[in-house]
Amino acid sequence: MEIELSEEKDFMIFKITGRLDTTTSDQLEREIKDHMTDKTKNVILDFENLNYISSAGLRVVLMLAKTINEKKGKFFLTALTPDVYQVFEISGFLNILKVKSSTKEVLDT
Amino acid sequence: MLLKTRLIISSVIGYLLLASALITNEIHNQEKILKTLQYDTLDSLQELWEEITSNDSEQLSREAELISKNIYLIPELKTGNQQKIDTKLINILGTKFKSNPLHWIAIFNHQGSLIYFSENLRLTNNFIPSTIISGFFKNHPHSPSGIAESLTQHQSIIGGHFISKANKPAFLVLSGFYIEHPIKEMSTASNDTVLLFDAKGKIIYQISDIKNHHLDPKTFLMKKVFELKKIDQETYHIYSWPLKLNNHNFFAQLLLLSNGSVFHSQIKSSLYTSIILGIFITLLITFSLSYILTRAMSPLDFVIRILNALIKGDTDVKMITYKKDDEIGSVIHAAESLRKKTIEVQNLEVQKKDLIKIREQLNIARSIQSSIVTGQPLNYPTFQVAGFMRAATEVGGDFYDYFKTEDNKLILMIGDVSGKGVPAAIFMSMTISYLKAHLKANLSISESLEKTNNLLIEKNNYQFFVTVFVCVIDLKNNVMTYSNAGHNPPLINTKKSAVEFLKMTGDMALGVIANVDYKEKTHKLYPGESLLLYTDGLTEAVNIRQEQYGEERLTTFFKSGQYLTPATHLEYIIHDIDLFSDSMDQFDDMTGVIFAIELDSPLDISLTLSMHMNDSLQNLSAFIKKHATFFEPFESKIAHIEIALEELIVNTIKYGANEVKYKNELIYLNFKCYKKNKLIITLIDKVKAFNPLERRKPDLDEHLANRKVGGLGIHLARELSEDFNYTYENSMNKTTLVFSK
Repeated sequence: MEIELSEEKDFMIFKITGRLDTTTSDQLEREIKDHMTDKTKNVILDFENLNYISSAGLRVVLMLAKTINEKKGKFFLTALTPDVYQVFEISGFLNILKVKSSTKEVLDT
Repeated sequence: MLLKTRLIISSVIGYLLLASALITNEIHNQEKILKTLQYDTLDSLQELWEEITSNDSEQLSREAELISKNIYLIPELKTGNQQKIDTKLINILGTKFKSNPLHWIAIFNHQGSLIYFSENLRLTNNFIPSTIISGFFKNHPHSPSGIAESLTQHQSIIGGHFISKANKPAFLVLSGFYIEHPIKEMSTASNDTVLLFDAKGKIIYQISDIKNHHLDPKTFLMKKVFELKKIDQETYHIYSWPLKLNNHNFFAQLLLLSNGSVFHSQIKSSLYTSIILGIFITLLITFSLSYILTRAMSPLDFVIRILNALIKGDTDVKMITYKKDDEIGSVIHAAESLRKKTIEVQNLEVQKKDLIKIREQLNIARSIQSSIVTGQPLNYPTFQVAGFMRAATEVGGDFYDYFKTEDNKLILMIGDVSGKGVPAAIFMSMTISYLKAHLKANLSISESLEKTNNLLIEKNNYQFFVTVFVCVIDLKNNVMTYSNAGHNPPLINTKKSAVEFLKMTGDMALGVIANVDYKEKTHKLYPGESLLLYTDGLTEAVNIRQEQYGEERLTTFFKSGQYLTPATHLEYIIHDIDLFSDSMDQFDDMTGVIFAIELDSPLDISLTLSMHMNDSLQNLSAFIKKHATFFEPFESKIAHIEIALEELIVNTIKYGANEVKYKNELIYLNFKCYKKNKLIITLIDKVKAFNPLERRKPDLDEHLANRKVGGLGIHLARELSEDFNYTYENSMNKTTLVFSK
């Protein structure tokens, strides 16, 4: 798994490539902890290149979402592949998280 | 050491112990007797003394009075004319000793001079010279002061005779004062005289003129006593008192039976006798025992010879006749039994060889039987059929058969003979042959069964019976005609609904009664459907708790394996039965036949992955990548498959890693691909029971802030798979997932 970090228009963007599973989710959790400051309010998880996510990955996503929610910030998931989308759907996460087709779409609005 | 030597030694030791015990006992007894005697003697003395002293005091005072009167009978005493008294006494003594010594008392002063003499005493039983003398001194005005006490203290009164009562020895010899003249001095005096008294006070020996014998009077006296009494020194205490009357010396002797040491010496000598006797008897016993034992044990030599011969396998040894009913007799008897047994064993060896031959022939019979019963699976594009049989004994009573006829029909049959082993197998092969012959001769099922039944009854001497199911499937229209002679109904996996039993005709098993009319029924089969014929050995397979496998589970596994070819399908079912029974020995044969219509060349591949608790999950990904061809039909589902498996494995590890005892357990993953469009994955682990089906579904409608982080994994696995199942058996969690193309 690779994580590409960028900041654009008040958003901190984590672009994840590869798999987000039991072995790799800790890495994402650490990365988020390391880079997010008290000021960080808005976050985008760009899943364009993510082809696998298991419940361990969902856990990290959910925790991040909760943190942002407490800060009254904005949180988006973007560019979900069909498999990943289905996992989010089954998990019921689509009801509580905002999903956009691309990061660009979020930034443009 | 030889047995008899040991016996002799132990007997001798035993005897010695016994003898020493007896001798100790004897000594003890002797000592007891001795003590009694001693006490008797002392007691009688004591008794006598007490009797005497307690006697009439009046009498005593009269005696005393008499004495005090009598004293004046010696006027010289009063005047102190020593010469006269002495002369008188000598005169008196000279006669008195010769006549009766019991009627006088003489009192001597410390120098040996006679100071008192009385011959006029009545010596009765209560006469006590010391009392009289004491009395005398107490009463006499001329007695030196303190002499009475001195008499008592120094025991200076000596008796002139013994007083006896009832022949018991008493004491006192001669009255007089104790004097300290050395014996030597005495012995040198002239006219020495020695008097010996016996226990009754009689003078038994008297010698004057000791000097002339050149002897010490005491030694002489003792020597004489020994001579006279033939007793040793310890027997008596000898008290001797040298007396001097004027120029005459006397020895007064008191002989008292002493402390009974005579018995000691007697015991000693009897002890020596006993020991000598003991040694003698011991030797005697040793010799006689060794003789007896050698004689008695000689038959054992025969026994030893027999046993040695038997060891070499020689059973022709001659037995000796020994009629005594003792231990030796028993040993010989046992040896004879052993000889007979050896002959039996030798015969058994021969029989064993025969048995091995029979077993070989049985194995041949078994292979012949399996060639009759088992057949190769038939795989046609339109149908497939396969059979399975596992006999509980070498030769079983179950059978099945299937064959295609020339007019494009398939005949299937399955049966179960009551009983097992060779007789059942013969009956079974008869059944199969008759049935097959009739069916091949184009007779109807009903007719074939009836004729077979009648033929079997003709030859049924052993009252066997056989349940048979026969069906003929017309492969042109898949219509099955069937008839059932008491067999359990086959299962059909129907397209429209679940598995169901074939409707039965309900007729009697073959071989019971003649002329049964076996009814026929028909059933139409459709593509994708399959039929399972089986014997009750499948459903009645038991596990260690005696639970039966059961129809329900058979139905489930028949259903879940529906995508398999019949051969694999049977294997799949049998594998589950084996898993259930956990290698318990089964008592019944297990037989099954599966017929399936239009399975289009199914591809069955099975893969297995085993993972350790601490293995990385990347192993799973790597495994899937490695077997890309296998998973190729499910490419679109591969992520879902992997997620589901990851969730389940993580869950197992989470549970298993908590307890040390599960640390080394493995997780098994079995992948089965059916017809390239079904993937059945089975996960097996041995950690503690965990039923994922009982896990509560997470609340998916909960608001973000309240959403729980856990519980998603199992939910994902269940949702991503097409079918999800869980069982716990034989301490194993078994989760089954099904994915479709």
